[in-house]
Amino acid sequence: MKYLGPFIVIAASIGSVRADDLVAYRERTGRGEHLLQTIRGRIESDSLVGIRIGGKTLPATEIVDVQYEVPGQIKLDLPRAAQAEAAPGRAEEAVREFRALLAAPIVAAQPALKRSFEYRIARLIGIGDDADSAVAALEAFILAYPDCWQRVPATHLLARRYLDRTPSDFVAARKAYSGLAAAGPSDVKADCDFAVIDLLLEEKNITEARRRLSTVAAANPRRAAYAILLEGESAEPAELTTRLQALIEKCNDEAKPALYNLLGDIRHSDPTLRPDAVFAYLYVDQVYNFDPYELMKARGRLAQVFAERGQDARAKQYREKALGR
Amino acid sequence: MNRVRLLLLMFAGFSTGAVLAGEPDGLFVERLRLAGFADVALEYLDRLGGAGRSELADRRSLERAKCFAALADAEVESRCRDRRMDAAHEAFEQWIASAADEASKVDARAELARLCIRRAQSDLARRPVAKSARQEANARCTEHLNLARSLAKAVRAARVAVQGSSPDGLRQRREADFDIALASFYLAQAVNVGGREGLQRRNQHVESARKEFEQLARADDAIAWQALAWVGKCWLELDNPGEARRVFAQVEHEGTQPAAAGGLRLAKYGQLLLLDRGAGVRSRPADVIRGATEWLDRFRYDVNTSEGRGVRYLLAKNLVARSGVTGQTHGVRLDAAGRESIQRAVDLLGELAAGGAEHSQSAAALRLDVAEFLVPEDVGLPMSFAEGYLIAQVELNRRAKLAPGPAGGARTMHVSRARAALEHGLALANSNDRRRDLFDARVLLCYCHLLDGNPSAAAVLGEYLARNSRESGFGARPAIYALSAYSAMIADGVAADAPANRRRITELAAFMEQRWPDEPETDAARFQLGELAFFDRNYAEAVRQYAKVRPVFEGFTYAKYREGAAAQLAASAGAGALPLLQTAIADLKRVPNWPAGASPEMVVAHAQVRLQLGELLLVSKGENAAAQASEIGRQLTTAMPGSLPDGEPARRQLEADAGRIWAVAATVEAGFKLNSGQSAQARSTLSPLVTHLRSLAGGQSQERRLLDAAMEALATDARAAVRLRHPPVGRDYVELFRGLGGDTSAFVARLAFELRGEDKENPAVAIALDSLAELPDSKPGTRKLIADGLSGIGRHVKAAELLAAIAPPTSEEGEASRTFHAARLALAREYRLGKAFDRAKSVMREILGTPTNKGWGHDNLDVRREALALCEDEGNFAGAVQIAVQVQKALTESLRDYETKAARLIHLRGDNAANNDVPGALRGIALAECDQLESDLRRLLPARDCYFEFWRAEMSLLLRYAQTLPPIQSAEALDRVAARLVKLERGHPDIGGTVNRRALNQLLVGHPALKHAYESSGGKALLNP
Repeated sequence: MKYLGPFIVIAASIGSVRADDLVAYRERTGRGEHLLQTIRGRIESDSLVGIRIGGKTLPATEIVDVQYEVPGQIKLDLPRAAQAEAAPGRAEEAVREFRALLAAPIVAAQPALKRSFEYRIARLIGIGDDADSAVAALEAFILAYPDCWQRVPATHLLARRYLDRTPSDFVAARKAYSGLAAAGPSDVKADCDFAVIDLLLEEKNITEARRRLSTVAAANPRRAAYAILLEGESAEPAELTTRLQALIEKCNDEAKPALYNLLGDIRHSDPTLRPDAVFAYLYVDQVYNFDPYELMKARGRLAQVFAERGQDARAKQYREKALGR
Repeated sequence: MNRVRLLLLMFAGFSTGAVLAGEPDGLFVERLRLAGFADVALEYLDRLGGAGRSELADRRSLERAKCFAALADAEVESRCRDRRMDAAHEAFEQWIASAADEASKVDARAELARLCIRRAQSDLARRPVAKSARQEANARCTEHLNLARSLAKAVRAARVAVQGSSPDGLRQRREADFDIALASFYLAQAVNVGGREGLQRRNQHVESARKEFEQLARADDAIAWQALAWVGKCWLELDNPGEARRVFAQVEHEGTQPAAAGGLRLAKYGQLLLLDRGAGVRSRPADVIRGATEWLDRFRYDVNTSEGRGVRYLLAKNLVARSGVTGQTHGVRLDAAGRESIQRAVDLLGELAAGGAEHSQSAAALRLDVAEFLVPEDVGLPMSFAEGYLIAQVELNRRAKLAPGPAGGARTMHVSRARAALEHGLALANSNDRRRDLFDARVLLCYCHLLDGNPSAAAVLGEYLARNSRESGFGARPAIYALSAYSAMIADGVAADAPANRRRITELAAFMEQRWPDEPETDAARFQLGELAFFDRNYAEAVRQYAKVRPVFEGFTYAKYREGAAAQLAASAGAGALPLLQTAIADLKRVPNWPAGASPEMVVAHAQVRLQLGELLLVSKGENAAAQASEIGRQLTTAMPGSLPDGEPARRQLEADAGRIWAVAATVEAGFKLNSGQSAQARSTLSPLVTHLRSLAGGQSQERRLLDAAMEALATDARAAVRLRHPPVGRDYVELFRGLGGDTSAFVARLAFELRGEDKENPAVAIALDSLAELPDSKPGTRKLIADGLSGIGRHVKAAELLAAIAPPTSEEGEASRTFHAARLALAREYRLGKAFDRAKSVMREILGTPTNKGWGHDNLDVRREALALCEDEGNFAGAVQIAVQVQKALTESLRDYETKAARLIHLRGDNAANNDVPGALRGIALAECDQLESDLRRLLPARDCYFEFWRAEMSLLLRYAQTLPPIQSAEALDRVAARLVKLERGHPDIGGTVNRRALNQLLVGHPALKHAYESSGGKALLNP
């Protein structure tokens, strides 16, 4: 969220003048391109499905950030908190500032604003170094606000932090995604299903992964790719790579982030193909980077790949990116 | 399937496996590059190979070039950056040369122009301090910037032609204009060679850049704002702070839109520079510190840009100023705040010093000076690695400031402290310390060992670091320390260890060659190997090693000079040197001439290489080589006055050497032409040289070797003039040679000698000799030589006149007396040849004297020969025979002695060959006698030959006399001669030696009657030559 810092600061100051809400969201515009758009107005509805504003519904999966209308009493204090949130290494200060804002009675009177500040606090703690505190903060937020757009990014972050524990807590991560899938709309459910399958694959639980894949809608373009992976479990990685590449060449761009990640995973699993894995993940990071879940996944993988290549600075950079720091 | 094929197949499949058809590889590679993953992008391009499936298949090399350029931009270490820039440059040029579509060529040119500017910028930032090296760096930068300007202009023209007034086209044209202006700005720094003229040239370029930037600033886009900020920077360079302040303020106040960000960054830096200089405003270090801190906070992502480095340097400098140590040398006790300021400054300067980008040199120097205040003279052992490393650097800096003194002095103490601090600090190192710093500290320790007189420790540590360094390129420095240490051990160590140390040098140098072929240190190793071989007189190996030294080596010019010298020595040593000569000639030709405005040291160094090249060309022989050498000499001679000041000590010697090379080479070239009948061309070749020599005449006396060469050249030209029947030039040249400070008599003698070999029928020869003969003040020896020349063309009377005029010397001893005697004898000869026998006899009487009152030539064989010839020519055979017999009698004793000793030698040699069982001691005595006999025989041989010469003369006279007699008496006389020949054959087994035998054989062949008589008398040996 680092690159949203200026947006938040500007929004905080503009909001104080125009007295309405500002939503930043991702808009896909063809191959390899996604634009960060903003829309201003009064938010009509705000749930796990997404936000309705200005006559259009923005899916929860595409929302980047929302700056709710700020009451006059905290106008002067919000920019300080927003600046600290945007600046690297000032997360603790930002948490303090947002907690101070939460203490203002006017904020308690505005549920959306309160939830927004609490999400910011949970996210800031959630990306911190202490995985247990992060998990606790994010779990608490999701428990408190099960039906809001913030639950989608919060769940992704939570699952990631479960895996950061020692040992990685796959069960809890799957449970978090399953919970979101059960509550969310179809697009959120599909993302969660594939996230669960990814976790099962990491656990080498192929049977369960196959079962889970069978529950995904047949029309989903990602399903074919996972099918190749799961059905050809005994096939040689080179063979799987060829089939996956053929699929990439045929499919539309929507599915490509997932397909490239899978391609990277297959290449990474085989010592001979491993040197090429980095290109597949980087394709997601640099070209097909419109899918937040796949982007986060690719960045996590890149952190691992660069660490294996002995490029520690890059590995660290991608670890941070994967956490959204 | 064998393993290799399997691997090849695997790799083939691997390469193409990464490529997916229809995927946006171009976008992918571009984004990787922009995201700082140019190395991964390169890797990807390598994986693509020649895969036709990728959209990049056709422009892979262009993308590679862009990646190299991006990698160079990201690289902080200067050498790595240079290598990458070179790789990018080469790849762009390849693309421009081979690409089919014009649009991509234009793109490549634009990229290459920017690359050249960055390269020049980088080179300018780390120009060496030494004047000549700095000028060489300036020359390279100028070359880069001129190329950048021409490329950018070509790009601009192409953009105008293709894209017209489209927004893209307009933007790209403005980018090209910006590059042109930027190149002008940096060109100003490169052409500033100091002095008033250098400053003027610099200001002209800055002014030109300012105007170009001003033109670009008349718009409202990112380029315009940047250009406006550059206008301010130009005003700063032009020392107009008022205008600079106005422009920077304009950018600050009006440049509020995002497009102005780049310009604003530069303008804010410019304002800091103004503040730092205190130009027109009262500023304190605290103001600059505050401003710089704000800048670094505001533009935190740009701290590694050129401006960012500048701001950090300003910050460090002002932190130092605030601490109050500026201008102090030592003894300052810092308070806590001062110490903190200095520590922060040292850290900042340390960051800037690493890598070799802008401000790195000044930062490194300032850091060491400032760090001294953190390290008191009585500092104890360090508490951490970082402290130990800093103490060592400071101590070595203190040492460098001291003048060399006796061993064990202050300099040694500083080295010992540095070594102790490093050893202790390295023992305290932990995982938090930077790996590069640890490596550098060990390299410094190696250097300390070298300075501390402990070459064995330096050699061991240096070689270890070199062979185990993980950092690419950085191990070359300890390797060169190790090589120096081994050399020191050879020079000062035990002789028995020398071969082992030589082997270590060779092995380590080979390792460097293989591991760091492109590092300057490896060139230093090559040079060192060359020196070692030179010292060993292994000139062939020396040439090979010097030949490998590349232009990046600081002592490249000197290395090439040594290569030439080694090749010349190899050529003088014997055969097989031609390939070495050719290598050296080709290498020396690659050394460019010195650039305009070069320092005297640089001019001298380059001129010496050119002179050495001239020498090599002369040694390599051939008309073409001589022509090249002549041109080199001519160029150097004409270029020297404009390149070296009058007072430069080396100038006179260089001019003399250049003139000599020119004269020798032109003479050789003219000689080739003369020998092939091209006399006119020979004169044309020598004409510019003669003109040059005329320009030198009348001044100081020229150096002797130049005079010798000039003498040859003028004599050759005179010879050519004679052949062309041109008016004689001899007298004119004598005056010219006198004007050069030469010995005119020697020159006239040389001229006469040259003319003596010319065609006798050519009237110009006589005219030339006559003109020489009329010279009033010729020395006796010279007159004699002219007389010899006249004699050679049959002008005996004239020759005799010249010789007769030679007055007797005042002393009977010495050279003058010898010359007079030779002249008198020559006079007798000329009289004889001119049939003036009475005069000849008169002179001969004077020479010979009487038996009771012997003349100086009484016992002289040459005189006797002449006397014999005189009698013979006069028809006085009896008298001639009498002379021949007299001489033989005088030499009989020597002949007997010779023949006795020769017989004894033959006897001894036969004994030695036959009696191998003779005890060694006895054999040794016989061998010693043989040696003595051989020595005696060599001494007696001339007398023996002379005896038989006169014996033959006697026979010839008898033969001639016999031919004048009636037939019967003639036959009897022939029989007597034949009997003498047979007697000689029987009495002298070697018949007086080979020469005599052949001469007598010829006599028989020419006189059949004599031969018949000889055979009839039983003669045999003389029938076979």
